[in-house]
Amino acid sequence: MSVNEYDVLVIGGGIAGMEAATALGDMGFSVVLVEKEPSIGGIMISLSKVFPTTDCASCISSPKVSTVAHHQNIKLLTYSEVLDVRKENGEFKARVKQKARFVHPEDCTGCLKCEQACPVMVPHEFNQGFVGRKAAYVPFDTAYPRSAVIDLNNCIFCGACERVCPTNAIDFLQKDEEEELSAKAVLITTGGKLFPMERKKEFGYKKISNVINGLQMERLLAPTRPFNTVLRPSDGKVPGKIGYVLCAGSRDASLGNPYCSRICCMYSIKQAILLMGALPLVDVTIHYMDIRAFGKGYEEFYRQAVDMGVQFVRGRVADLNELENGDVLMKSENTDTGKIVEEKYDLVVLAAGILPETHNRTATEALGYATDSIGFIKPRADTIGATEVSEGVFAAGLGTGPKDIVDTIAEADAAASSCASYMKENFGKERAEKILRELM
Amino acid sequence: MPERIGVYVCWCGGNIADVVNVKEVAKHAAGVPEVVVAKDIMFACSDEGQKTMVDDIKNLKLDGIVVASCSPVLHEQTFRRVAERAGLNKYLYVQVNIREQDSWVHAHDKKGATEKAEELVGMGIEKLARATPLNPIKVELTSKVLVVGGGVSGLTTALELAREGIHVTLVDRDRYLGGFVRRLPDVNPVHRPGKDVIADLYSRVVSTGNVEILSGTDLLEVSGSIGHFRARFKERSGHIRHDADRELLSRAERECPVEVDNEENFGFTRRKAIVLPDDRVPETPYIDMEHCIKCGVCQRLFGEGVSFDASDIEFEEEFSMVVQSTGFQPYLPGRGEFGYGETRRVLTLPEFLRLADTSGKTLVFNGRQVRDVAFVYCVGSRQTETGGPNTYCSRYCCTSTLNTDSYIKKKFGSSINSFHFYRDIRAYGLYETMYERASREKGLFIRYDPASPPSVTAEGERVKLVTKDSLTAGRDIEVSADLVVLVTGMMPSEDGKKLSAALKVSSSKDGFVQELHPKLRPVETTVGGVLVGGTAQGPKDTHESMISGAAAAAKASTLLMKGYTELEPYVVTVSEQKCNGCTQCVTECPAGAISMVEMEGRQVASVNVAMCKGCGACAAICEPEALQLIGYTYPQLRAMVSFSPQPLGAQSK
Repeated sequence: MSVNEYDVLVIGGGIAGMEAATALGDMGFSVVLVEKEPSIGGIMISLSKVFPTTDCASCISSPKVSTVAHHQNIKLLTYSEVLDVRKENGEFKARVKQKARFVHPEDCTGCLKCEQACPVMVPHEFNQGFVGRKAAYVPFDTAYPRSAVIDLNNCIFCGACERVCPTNAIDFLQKDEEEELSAKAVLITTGGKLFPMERKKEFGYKKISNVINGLQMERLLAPTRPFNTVLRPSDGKVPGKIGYVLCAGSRDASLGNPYCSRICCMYSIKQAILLMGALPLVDVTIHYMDIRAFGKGYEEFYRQAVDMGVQFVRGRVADLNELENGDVLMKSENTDTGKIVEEKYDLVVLAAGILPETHNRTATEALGYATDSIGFIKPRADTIGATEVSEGVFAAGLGTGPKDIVDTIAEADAAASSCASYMKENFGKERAEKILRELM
Repeated sequence: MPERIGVYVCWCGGNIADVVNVKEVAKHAAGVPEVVVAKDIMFACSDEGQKTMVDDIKNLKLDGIVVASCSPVLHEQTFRRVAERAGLNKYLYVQVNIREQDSWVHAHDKKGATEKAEELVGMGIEKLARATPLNPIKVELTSKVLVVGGGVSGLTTALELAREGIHVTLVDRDRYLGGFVRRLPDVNPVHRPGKDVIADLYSRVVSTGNVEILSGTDLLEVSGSIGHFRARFKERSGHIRHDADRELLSRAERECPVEVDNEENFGFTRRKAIVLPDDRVPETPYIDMEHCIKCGVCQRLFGEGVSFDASDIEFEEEFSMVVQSTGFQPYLPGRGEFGYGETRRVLTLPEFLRLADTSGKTLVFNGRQVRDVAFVYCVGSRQTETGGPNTYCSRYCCTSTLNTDSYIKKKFGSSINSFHFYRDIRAYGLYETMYERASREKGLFIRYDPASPPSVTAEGERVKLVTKDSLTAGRDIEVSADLVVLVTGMMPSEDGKKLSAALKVSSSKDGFVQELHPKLRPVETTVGGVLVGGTAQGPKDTHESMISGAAAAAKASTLLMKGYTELEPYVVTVSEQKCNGCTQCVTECPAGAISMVEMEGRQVASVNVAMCKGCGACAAICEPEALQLIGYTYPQLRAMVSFSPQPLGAQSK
């Protein structure tokens, strides 16, 4: 069983998990990183560009993916889920399910022949449903592992993929497998997800074709974007007038989310700047309550958007309605004039807020950390600046509250540091030294 | 020297390929005799892209690769690892930047951009064809770190490192630790006094047994490079024994005849010339010799325990890494800025917090009870419209003010009325609930336009604020208050600027320490071995400063637990035969790495490899070409400069 013993179990392979795992691995700890999706990378790798540097997100996250993938101290379990974790004698025992890919990743070369052969077309999650993917598919260009996976829920069992696979990597008989592993500490980086905008009925998300969320706009703007330009969903028209609704699903007690989601102001400003570059004739108007450009260089980035001609209108948006030609009629207040205004837009983007990923809380119940009413992991009572949420359990990233990439990285490194300290104090020679000092 | 070169031209999704015809560039490169294979790749950095290169190096027996993609800042390390994994010397790889230096800046000239890419790639090949295998310079790292600054961030860095078994020296000029947080009466979001938060951190730091605390110590000088930083300290004498008896100390304080303004409380309280720690850490008293009149009262109590002429101690130590946690300084409004300095009833937020903390059950200023407090936000921040120097947002001030509002209402009762003159309330994330609470607790929010900020004028014992409120469509608002609190932003500290200059750490436009990458590497600086934590890097609140401090510890431990680091082999070598002893290079070298030594009766240049940064400034001006920068040799540079691209069509004709 010695192969399944690790120093640290990291749950979640987004940017927080990758950063923390790399830091711990670099310090010499053995790490097992469990990711439920077929590829690591999380939300960040699917983004267009990051604020305020406008670096291409895929370009700056793929080296992190690569580092994790090739790290000698990191064992990667993708498409895997932690079923339960319990604490025994100060160590953690976890049961992990390796979901069947129906492809042997060690044989798959990522040649895409199966994908080309597969006749089934379903909406592509990575591209936010704008284009289709096959039932046999590689999740995205920069995925790791770059191995196909077969989506059995949509597969019609035609066998086309199996016939074309040059390495016979496809195996329909593959089964989920369970593995038991042990770790001395656990780091939770399970991340977050966008607020489900359909819950705000007034905005008509998923009913009005040309109302999309912020992550969908990310895909429309990404270097690997599906249409190579920005098109609105209803009729493929290049939008000339785009409206942004900030605080969509955030700062809204009526939806049960009283929090501010921290990133939506900035990603909207960034998208506005990118849109102006991509569509030189576009008009972008951002409807906001407070512009929260609080990070380093953010206020300057906001000023840049103002100088480029992005319109900022203060006031909440009341509702959105679809017009016959697909345009969206927005009713909102403008507190500067004190008037209620109606405005037509070709496309409306809901700057949707952040909720914690609904990770399997029962699986980690035994770890003894607390969550708030929304599900964000809470710090231990009366602690400040700490990432240890329960003894031997650490947390970072969107799971502890909404935050942007740089704050996520800092928190992940801080968690790695505290986790290393915990390991050294409880399992290293430092423990012996400490006991000795206390005796003397 | 490489004779079988592979060239890889990256699409970077559409970042490059939308402008540069990457297939054309690869085809062009294939025409160079040394090039065995030339390909275009969707994402060279992706695992798939890397695999292609590794396979090619092995299968085609390549002895060098050129990758034409983004800036080496992003991916030099990535592609070096590719070379290494394939068994190739990692310095037999050249990165050509056709994104930042080509496709992004020539988006409207696709033909020109493609030709430029061809030329840049050709130069890269020429350079590689004259390269030799190199090995990094290995520097041993002893487990010894200097943390400069003992605020929450520095203390957290020290604590984490010490818990990991690394020896830390923590230096602070202040005699008491805790920086800004020490003086906060109520730290958000734990709502404990700052000095308690600091005392807890301090006792945990002390209990590790791995931290040497030098408080009341000046850092006189620091120099060197990773593995070998030398620091010179001056420990200022406290003129009284550290372990002086508590009761005697209290008596000495009572009897000391000198009374001066207590700077800890901005003069809202007074103190004696003998200063007691008073819940501060370390718990050591001192005598303020600037004000002491040497009356001898305390000397009679402590005898030899007091020494007026005890001298400061200077000493030097060596460290392998330095963490800059020098914090910030609050913005100080100019005279007349929102009435500051003109009426006493205008205070800054740090001043107001000390007033509130040192007040009893009622909030009293200048003998009058305070009932109406007006907060003016964004003073010294977001000054684009007002023409001030600070264009940035100071991040912590909105929530700190909301917290202050709640704190004074808790302490002095809800009879206090608060008025908030703000621009945007940036109560981000979970802090939003504080904003909501402040509104519920009857805080009145007035939104002002930066073009017409509130005017502040004294009106008898009160202060009048007038502005237009954009929440009510620009209605004129007039508020009369007992006190006006200017919510001042954060500025980079003078001490921090000096330290950065000494270590040659770059600053960003706002004057704070420049992090290595604003998105991905927030606690590393432009200088190897120097990390940054807390507000020295940019405005943060208490929690965020601590997180940043812990993150800096993580980056230090990744190197220190390994015990060594590897530096670039791109350093300068000297040919003593060619050197004419002109000494120009000594003057030119920004790192101070070159000195003149005597050899066979004449003076020749000599390079300290550990200090050389490989900038090449010396080689550029060395007339006899005695100084040669490894990796950028004269033959390499000449070949690159004289490379002239042959249009593909011309070659075949």
